[in-house]
Amino acid sequence: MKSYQKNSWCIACLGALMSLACTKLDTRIDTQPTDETINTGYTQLWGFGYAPYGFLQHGFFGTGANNSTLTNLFAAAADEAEETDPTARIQLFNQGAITPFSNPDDVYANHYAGIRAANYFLENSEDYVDVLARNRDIISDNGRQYQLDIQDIGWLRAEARVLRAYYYVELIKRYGGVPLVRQVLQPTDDTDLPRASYDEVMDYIVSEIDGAKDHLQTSWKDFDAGRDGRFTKGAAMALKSRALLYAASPLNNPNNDLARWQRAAEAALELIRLDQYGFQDNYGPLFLDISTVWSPEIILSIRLGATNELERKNYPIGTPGGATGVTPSHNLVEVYEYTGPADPANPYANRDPRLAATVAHNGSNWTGRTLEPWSGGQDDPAKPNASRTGYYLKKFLNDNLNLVQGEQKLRSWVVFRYPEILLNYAEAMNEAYGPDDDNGFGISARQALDRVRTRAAVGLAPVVAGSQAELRERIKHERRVELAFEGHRYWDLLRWKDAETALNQPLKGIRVARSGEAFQYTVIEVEWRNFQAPKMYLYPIPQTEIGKSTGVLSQNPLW
Amino acid sequence: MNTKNTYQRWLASLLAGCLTLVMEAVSAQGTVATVAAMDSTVVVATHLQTIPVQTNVAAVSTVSGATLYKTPVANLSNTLYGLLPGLTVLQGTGEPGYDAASLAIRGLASYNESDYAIFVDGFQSNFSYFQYLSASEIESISVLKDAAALATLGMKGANGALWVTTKRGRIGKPAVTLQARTGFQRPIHINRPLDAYGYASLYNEAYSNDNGRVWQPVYSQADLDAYRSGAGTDVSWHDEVLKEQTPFTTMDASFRGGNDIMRYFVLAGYMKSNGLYDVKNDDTHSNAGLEQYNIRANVDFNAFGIFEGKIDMGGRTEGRRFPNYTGAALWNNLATYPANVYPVQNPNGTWTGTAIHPDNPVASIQTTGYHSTHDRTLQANFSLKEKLDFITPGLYLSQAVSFSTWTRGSYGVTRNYARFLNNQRQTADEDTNFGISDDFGTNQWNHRQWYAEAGYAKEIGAHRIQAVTNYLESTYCIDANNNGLAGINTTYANRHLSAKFHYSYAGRYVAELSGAYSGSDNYAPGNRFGLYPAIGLGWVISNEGFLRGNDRLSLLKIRASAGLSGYDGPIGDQRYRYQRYYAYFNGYPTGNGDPTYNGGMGLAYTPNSQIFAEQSLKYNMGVDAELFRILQFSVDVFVDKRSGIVSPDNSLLAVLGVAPPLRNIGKVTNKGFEATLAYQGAIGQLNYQLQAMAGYATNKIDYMAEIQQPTPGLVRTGRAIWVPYGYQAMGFYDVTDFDANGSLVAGLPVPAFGDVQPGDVRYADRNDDGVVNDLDLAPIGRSFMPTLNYTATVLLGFKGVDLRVLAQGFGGRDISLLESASQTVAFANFGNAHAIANDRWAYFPDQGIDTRAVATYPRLSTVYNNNNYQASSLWIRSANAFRIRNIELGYEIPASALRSVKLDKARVYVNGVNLFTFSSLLETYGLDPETLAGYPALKSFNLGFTVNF
Repeated sequence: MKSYQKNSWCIACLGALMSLACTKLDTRIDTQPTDETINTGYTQLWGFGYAPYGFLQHGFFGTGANNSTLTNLFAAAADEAEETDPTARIQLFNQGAITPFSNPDDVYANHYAGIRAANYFLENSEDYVDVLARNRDIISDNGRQYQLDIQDIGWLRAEARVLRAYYYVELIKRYGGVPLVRQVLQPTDDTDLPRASYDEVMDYIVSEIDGAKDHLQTSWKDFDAGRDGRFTKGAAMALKSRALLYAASPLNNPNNDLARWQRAAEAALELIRLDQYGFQDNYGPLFLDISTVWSPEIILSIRLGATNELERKNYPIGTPGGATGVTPSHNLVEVYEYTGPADPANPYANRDPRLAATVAHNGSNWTGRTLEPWSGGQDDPAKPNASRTGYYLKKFLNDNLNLVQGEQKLRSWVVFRYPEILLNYAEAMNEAYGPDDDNGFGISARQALDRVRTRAAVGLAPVVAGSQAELRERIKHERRVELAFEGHRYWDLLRWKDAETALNQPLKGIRVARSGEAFQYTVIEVEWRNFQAPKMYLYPIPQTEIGKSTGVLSQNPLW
Repeated sequence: MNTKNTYQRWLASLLAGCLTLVMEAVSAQGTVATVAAMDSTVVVATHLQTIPVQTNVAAVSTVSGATLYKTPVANLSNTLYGLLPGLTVLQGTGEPGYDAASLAIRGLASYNESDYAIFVDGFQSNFSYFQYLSASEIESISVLKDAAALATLGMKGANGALWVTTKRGRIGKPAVTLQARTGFQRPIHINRPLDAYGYASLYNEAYSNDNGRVWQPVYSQADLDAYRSGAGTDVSWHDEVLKEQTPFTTMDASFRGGNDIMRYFVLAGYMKSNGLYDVKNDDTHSNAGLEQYNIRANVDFNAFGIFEGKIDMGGRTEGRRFPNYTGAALWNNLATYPANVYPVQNPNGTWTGTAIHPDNPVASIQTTGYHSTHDRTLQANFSLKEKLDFITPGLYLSQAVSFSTWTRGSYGVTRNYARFLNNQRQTADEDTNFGISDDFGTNQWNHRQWYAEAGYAKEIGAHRIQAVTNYLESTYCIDANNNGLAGINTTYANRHLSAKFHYSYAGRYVAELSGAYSGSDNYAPGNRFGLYPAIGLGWVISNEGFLRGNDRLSLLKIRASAGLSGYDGPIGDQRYRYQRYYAYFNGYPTGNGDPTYNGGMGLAYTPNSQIFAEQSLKYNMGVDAELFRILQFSVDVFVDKRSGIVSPDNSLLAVLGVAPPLRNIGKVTNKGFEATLAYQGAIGQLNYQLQAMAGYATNKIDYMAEIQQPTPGLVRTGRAIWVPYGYQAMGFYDVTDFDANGSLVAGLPVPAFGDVQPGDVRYADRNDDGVVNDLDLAPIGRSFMPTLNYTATVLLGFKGVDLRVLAQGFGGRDISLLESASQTVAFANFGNAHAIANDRWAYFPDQGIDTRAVATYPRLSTVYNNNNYQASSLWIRSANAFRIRNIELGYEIPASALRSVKLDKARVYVNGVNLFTFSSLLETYGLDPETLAGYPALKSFNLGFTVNF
């Protein structure tokens, strides 16, 4: 009996011990913001407000933040340039080998992620004035900051609308009409959405820009340079100008509806009349360092911070640390205008000054030495990885960056700059009203074009072309030269429907033979380009998307 | 060629020997004594219950600690080769302290991470604790394979379990066992690169190939002659860095005994495993090594008539030391630094090194200092059982707690050295003084478990009932940063209610119901628990009246089981997939100077509130039989239907704008069999036993919400897990495949991997589109996971002498030679050339070089060739192997001779581990089929003794 009691005591003690050992199944420790934590303050509004910007892509090289596998300038897809690395994915464009499964510039998912981020911010910040008042003193001294915050979130909301429009512009440029997503989709929602037409998406883009543009900051430089780089009213108008120009172009305007050209001209005019942007006196430095953010030509640019990646990729093979990368083609070099008599012994003398600022050629003083793209020279084309065109890229690249020591410079990608708007205007006006009819706008197609050509940085003579067709060619030429390597050429060729000729011919280069101090230049064929028309006028919708769809999402023709 | 013949002859004689034994045995069968296979004292111990082997219905295989002890290796996982049917054991490296084999139970059943569970003395443990348990402290290890054995483990059971039982005390006078063994370990094989002459000769070819196939030697004939004569720099880095062999020692003393009040098993052990580096051990240098001390004290006691208590303590310290240079990098350098790169030291005694080959392998071990880590591991269990026979006979309660913990601290000294060559500084490194590296990285885990159990066991006439129910809570805390957004120092908690009901009638009919209601904190509240039931049935036909007492068919049993189990394993790098988290990412820089980065915030991932554990539905059927009391066989056939494998829901389109959520949607079928056969007999005084085992498992992905693939070749659904994909190699381009400009002649498909030239690998254009690109990918081989594992064991006993030979092999396995790129890809990244490069394509008629007809390796290049080193069938090789894992010859000293020295038993033996490997990969390329690169796997010769008194 006694032992019985003892046993009971033992069992009771054990029971007590056990209850101490009891564990919880709720062990979660949240080290990241949750719905609860983000709703207790207001600072997260900026996080969500900047999120739509996170999917913007600069055009220098792949950012790793998207499906794009481009590793260098997109210019190599057009007749401007050749990518030296034969295995670079950009070559698929030149070979006519992009497929619904394999597109090096597949931005489809990335841009919808940007659109979602914009939708999310817009939906979840409607009550931002109240949210900003959470847990803070809105009356006394801090009240001013509160008012400033209200102002800034208001701007970010307008910017989100323009960014959403920007992503749609970039999508329809590539894929034609795409599904319109105007609100945040949940995983439980039907994501198998049909494509809206090109024009439906355009209408949405234009209405969004029009609705938002008056709520945008006009100039960050004047207000707070620390926020420069965000969309402004001018940038939104530039986006509208470009979008309407594309919509008026032959690819998207097969019946040549002149009203479309007129709308495009008016959109550009609106921006020109802002009188906010101007010219820089030199061309090459515009694309370097802080010029690309401060210059009066710049309407919007994307900052990358300090980097030497572009130099590492594109410096000449004979320069330590250089890898050749994307090299200008002779197709591009030969179109730069002569400003004096041609000299066969030095074909680069007496040329449009933009040539010397864009292309490094034989004899160029570049990266601290003279370029020697001849047999036996430092940039001997027989060297592995030497330029196949005989030229090297100069535009965007800082001269004399010491790559061995890892020297870096600030870099920014131009999204919109003033000369593009003038050229948009010239093109639209020429199509809508002819070369010299200003329709009462105060500036004609020819005058807009000449503003670009004759500005101090270029100093060319006014165009002499007479007819609408002749001026059209001059405008196309001017875009090609002025905007070289800025990511325009391929898309211009597509929207003009010129790609089937311009991209179905040999890409040319130059061979330099040296005899003594004299050089002999021979034009060579680097490779045949293959553009499959009309199929390649639109990208294929990624096949994985078509495969997931139950037939609702349609593929582009011929893909 | 020689080696091949030798091994074929060897194998033939081995097989002939086996056959002879079998035939002789059959003729002598009448004289054989009965064996203990159906001994009623033999039990099968699994979770919750210990069942007599006759009425066991589960698929469980067991091996004793004594058998594991016969393989003298540091890591317990390396003793398991070929001993447990259904357990795949793939050897890893031989680096002391990092020498674990990788294990899998019944192959692969999930394309996600699918770790098996390890239980030690009834509590869940992990590999870190398991791997350096000593074989001397282990009673047995079982592998639990089917639903009848696993369902009670709930969410821990789907991938099988290893059930480890340590030794316990026995009633009797104290028995002391002293054991020691020591031996020498050597690499199974070292794949030495070509010497300077071989390297330079091939380099000339490679350079000329890159030079438009115009002969332009980098090394002159005079250079080559100098290498030949020994006048040139020709360093065998392996010989400079490695010793031929290195010692390995274990010893332990154990005490076992007790009475009906208290029983004990106490063991103290020591193990030291040295590395292969030729460097002294002192305050500033160290060879690789692992030194371990372990102690186990398992005590059982009875109190007040109703209590049965158990205290188990298993603890150890592991000290690892190694040169202050990563082992993997060192072995990579040994393979890739050419023999002529520089001498070991400069004439003035400074270290050599260049910017391209900075880390002189000898300097790496001799002068960089050393590093050491110190691990402390303990598992402590306490359990108390109350026999409540005073309430009703057979009823008991029990409670138990377990604390298991591991910590690692580290320290060492570091030093850098200047690199010179030709009296010039080659890198920015300078000679430095020793620095102290203290505690870089502290790791720990902590595992607490407790359970309460109620059970009942009773025999009523022919009915026998065993019933038990158990409630367990488990908390596992680890500081490794592997929890993604859940942060570090995270706790994993489980709760677990399990029960088992075992019923048998007259030893003939068996029915077993078991199951668990198992919950994990990985899932959302309200969605944390799963029910995992199982049923097992058995019919012992040999116990039926018509067979009872029959000597020809002494055992015939049919078993079947079906049931569910789950796996709550990690899901990628994130935990708490149900929880919505936000994170900063993809920001945007603004500002007109050095930009300010503005973080953008969004969903960290798309949550799924319904996310749950992967589920396994297992079917198993088995037959056990014994014929003539000398031949036993057992066969198990199984099917494992996996469902709910956590996979991205790729049915959602990109317009969603975020990565799709993970959902429980994947399905896999895994099926196969295990068979064992044992035969024993005697010829006169020669006792012998032959055992053979085989395990086979093959799997197929049934569904994984796969995105649409560009070509049927790339589709994973419907294929086995981890099948390698690549191009079909069609030999090499010939000179005639190119026109005068060096372009491929029209009509030949153009590869998308850059320009090609004669001697480059030519790939099949499977879709005939004129281009070889990723649309031409297709499966090119089998998974690295063998489908077949097999074993043959021969045991011979003659008077006091015993001999055991264990041979093990595996099949159905392929690897790519490129997995060992440092030894197979010649010259790339300033690398080296191995013998495989001698089979290269080469055509320099002026030099008298023409290997076009016999080449099996592409033309050489001084740089990495993007075309030739694509994943392709050119590099796929069968990685099957057959190894003699263990040979032991022992002698038990006769009792008569021991009586005078008061010993009960004494045995001495010699033993060899991994002495012979038969593998085409090893023969042809010098690559170990399991350890493809890095520190090699080891073989060893050992000598040992065991004394009992």
